[in-house]
Amino acid sequence: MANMPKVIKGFTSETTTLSYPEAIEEAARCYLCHDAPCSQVSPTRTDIAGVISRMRSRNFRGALRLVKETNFFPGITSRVSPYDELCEEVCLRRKFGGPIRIAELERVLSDYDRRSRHPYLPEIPESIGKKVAIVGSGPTGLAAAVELVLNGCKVIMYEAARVPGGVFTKGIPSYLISDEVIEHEVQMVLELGVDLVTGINAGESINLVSMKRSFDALLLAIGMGMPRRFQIPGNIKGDIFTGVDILESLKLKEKRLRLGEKIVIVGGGNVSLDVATALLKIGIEDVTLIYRRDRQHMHVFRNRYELAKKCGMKIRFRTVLKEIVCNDQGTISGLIFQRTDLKEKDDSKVEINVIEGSEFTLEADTLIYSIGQVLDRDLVDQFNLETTEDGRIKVNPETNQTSDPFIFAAGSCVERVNTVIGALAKGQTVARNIVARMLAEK
Amino acid sequence: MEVNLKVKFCGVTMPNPFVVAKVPPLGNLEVMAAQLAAGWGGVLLRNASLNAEPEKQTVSTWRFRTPIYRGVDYEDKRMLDLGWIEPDSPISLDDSEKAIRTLKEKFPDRVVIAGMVGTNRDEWLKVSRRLNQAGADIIECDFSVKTDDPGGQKVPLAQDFKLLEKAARYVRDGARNTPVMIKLPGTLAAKAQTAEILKDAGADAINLFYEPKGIPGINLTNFVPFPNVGAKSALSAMGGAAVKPYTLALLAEWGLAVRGLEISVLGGAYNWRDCVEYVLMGASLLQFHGAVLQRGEGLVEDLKSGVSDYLAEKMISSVDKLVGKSLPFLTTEEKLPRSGRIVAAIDDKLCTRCGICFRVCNGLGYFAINMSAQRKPTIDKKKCVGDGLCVAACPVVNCMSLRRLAK
Repeated sequence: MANMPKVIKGFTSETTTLSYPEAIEEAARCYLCHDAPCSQVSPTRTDIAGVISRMRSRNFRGALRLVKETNFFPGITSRVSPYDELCEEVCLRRKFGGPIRIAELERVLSDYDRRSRHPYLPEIPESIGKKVAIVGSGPTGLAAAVELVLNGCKVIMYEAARVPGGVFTKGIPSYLISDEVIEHEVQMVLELGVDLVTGINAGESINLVSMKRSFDALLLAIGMGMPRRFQIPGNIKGDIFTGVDILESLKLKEKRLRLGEKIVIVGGGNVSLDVATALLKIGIEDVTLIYRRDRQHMHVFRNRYELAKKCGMKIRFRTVLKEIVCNDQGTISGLIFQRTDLKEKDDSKVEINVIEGSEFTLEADTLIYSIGQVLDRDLVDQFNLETTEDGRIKVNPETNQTSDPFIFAAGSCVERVNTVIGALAKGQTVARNIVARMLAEK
Repeated sequence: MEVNLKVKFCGVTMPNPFVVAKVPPLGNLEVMAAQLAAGWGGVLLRNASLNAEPEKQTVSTWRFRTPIYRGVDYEDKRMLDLGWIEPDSPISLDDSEKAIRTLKEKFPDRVVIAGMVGTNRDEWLKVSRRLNQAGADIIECDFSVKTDDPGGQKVPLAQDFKLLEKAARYVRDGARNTPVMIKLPGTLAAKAQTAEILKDAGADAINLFYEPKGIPGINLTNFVPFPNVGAKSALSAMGGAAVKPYTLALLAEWGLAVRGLEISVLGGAYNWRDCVEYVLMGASLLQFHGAVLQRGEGLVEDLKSGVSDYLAEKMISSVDKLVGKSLPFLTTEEKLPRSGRIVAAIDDKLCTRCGICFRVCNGLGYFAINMSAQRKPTIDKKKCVGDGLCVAACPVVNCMSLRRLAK
C-alpha cells in the first residue's frame, strides 16, 4: 500500500431513541385501527396495535411481553429491519401526520427491558421430552430455539464462531446497533435454558449417526456462510476484500484492517451499502459503489440507501469491473471499468450487455466486492443433502424437512430472506413444524 | 363587520366579558394588575371577611395557606382536569379595600368584583358597606360556603331559604347602589325557588360554578391519593377543563329556571369555543380560574380573537345577542323527534380506512357498516339506526357525519 495505512479500531454509536414521555405521546397518535394493518404485515405476526395500546396507558411491561411473545429480539429488529417498508408503510396514520414510529417505540421497549432489573423471561412449559439440535445461532436458529423451548423441548445449539448471534454479531454494522443490545437479547435466549456450544465446526465434529441417537431432530440454520468469489482478470494479490470481511472485522474488532483511501465497492446489495456507510463513518472520504444495473434494480432497504448517500457515497450505475491495474508488488493503482447497456426482458429480468470500447479507469487503492453469499457446503455434503439449482438446501416447503427427514433446514440456507425479522419468522415456523412432526411420531 | 365585545353586566359596562377569578390564590396585587394590563375585562377578588387576619405576604405563611394542586392526565395529555385542595381562608377587609382602590385607580375602565362572605347580619351589612365605599364595581357574596346551623350542623347557606333571603337583603342594603351577585353551587336543587327569593331580595345576578369533590388520582407505588402532603390527602375541588360539560348542563338547568337575574359562570372554560357555548346556554359573564393558572394572563388575547372572529363570521354585532340562544333547543329524552330517518355518512376523501366505525357499530350490535377487502367502509342505509357512535369515534375530524334522509 503506497499511502499511509489506516488502523481501524471499530466504532459504536448508540442509535437515538425516544424518551418515555415522547414514546407515550407517539403511541397516543395511533388510531388503534380495527384489524390493524401493521399487525397483519408483521412477519412475526406481532400484535402491534395491542403493544401501542398498552404503551399509551404506560403499561410498558405488558407491551414488552406482547412484543416478546412473538418477537424475542425487538431491540435488534427495530434497529436493523426496514420497519419503514413493513408495518410503518401500511400505517393508516400516514395520511395525517405520518406513520406511527413503530420501530422507535419498539426500541423504547427493548431499552426498557435491558435496563430493567428483571428482564422479561417467559414461563417455560413442562417438558415434552424431546431434544433438538440446532446448527447455527443466527436469527433463524435463535428464533427457532426460543419457539422450541416454549413448546417444551430441550435445545442444544452449535455455533462455529466464538460468539453466538450469526449475522447479529458479524454482519450488522455498529452504527445501526450497539453490541450491548445484541448481547442482551442473545443472552436472554440462553437464559431460557438453551445450551450453546461455540467454536465448534459442525462439519468436522458432528457425527450424524450419534446425532440421530441422542436427538429427536436436527435443524440446520446455517445461513449462507461464504461470500461469493468472483474471477478478476489481473494480479489478484492486491488489496481485495469481501464486504462481509470488512463488516466482520469492524464488528468483532479482532482483526485490524488496513485499507487505502480510495475505495471501490462492487455490488449493489445491502451489504455493499452497509460497508460503504461504515467506511465513510470511520473517516474514509472516497468511497465509490459500482453496480451493473440501475437504482430500481437494487434490492436494498430505502433508508440504508439514503443513509449511504447522505454519508457521501458515490455511486456509478451500469458499470462492470473489467480489469485491475497493479504494480509488481500487487498494490492496486487503478481499476478499469466498462459501461453496460440494459435490456428489459419479458420475465421482468434485465439482460446486461457490456458496451465494447466504453472502458474508463478509476483511481483506487482498495477493492471490496460483495456480490452475494453462497452456502457453506461442508455440512451439506457430509449429510448428503439435496440442493436446489441456486445452491441452497432443498426442503419440503410444507414441513421444512430436507431429503433426510431427520434434518430440517430454514432461513437463508433454504430461501432468499431479506430481513432479520423475516428470518425470525422462518425460525418460528420451522420450530412449529419440528414440534408437530415430533409429536406426530409419538 | 365591526364586532364589539363590550358588554353590560348588571348595568356595569366592561370591555369584554372575561374575568379572572381569584388568581393568584393568595391575592398578590402585582399579578392582578398584570392580568388587567393584559386585557382581561375584570378581576374577581378573594372573599373578604370581618374575621380574617390581614395577609402577611411572606413565603413562610403562604406555605400553610396555599392550595395544593394535581392534574389529571390521560395517556399523553397532561392536565386534562385540575384538582386542588384549598384551605378555606378569606382575606381581611383591609386587604380587599386596598386591592379595590389600587386596581380601580390604575384601571378605571375595568371591573373589580369584590368577593365577600359572612355568617350573620353584622357581617353581611358591614362588609358589603365597606366594599361599596371602597369602590367595588360589583359585590359577589358567596352563599355556597358552609355556615353554622343553630343545630350545630354545617350546611351550605343557600340551602336554607329563610337565611338565604335574610342574607341577601342585608347584603343588598349594605351594598347601596353597587350591584350584587350571589355565588351559588350549581348543583342546588330548588333552582327556580332560590332564584325567585334572590330576585325579590334585590340581587342582580347569580354566579354559578361546578366544583365537584374529586380525587385526581392515586400514587400506584405507595397508594397515597393525589394531591398529597406527605402520606396524607383529602378530597379535591375539581375545576379544570373536564368539568365543562357538567357546567354547561347546570347552566342549561338554571337558564331555563331563572327569570330576571343575570348569570355569571365560573370554571371549565379554556378556550373561545367554551366561552361561546356558555353564552349560548345563558351566561353573560365568564370567569376563568384553572385556565389562567395553566395558560397565564395571555389567554385573554386568544379568547377575544376567537369570540370576535366567530361573531364576525356569524354576522352578530355583540355578545349579548347570543345569550341563551341554545336554551330553546333543549327538551327531554322522550320528546326527541325520533320519527325521521337519520343515517351516518362517510367522507371518503378524509377516510383513513382505520375501521373504527366498523368496530363500534358491530359492538353496538347493528352491523350497519361493511368493510371491503381494501378496508373501505360503507354504510348500509337499511341497517343504520343513526345513533352517531361511529361519528363520535371516528378519529378524523369532519370525516363522518349524520344526515337526515328525505322521506
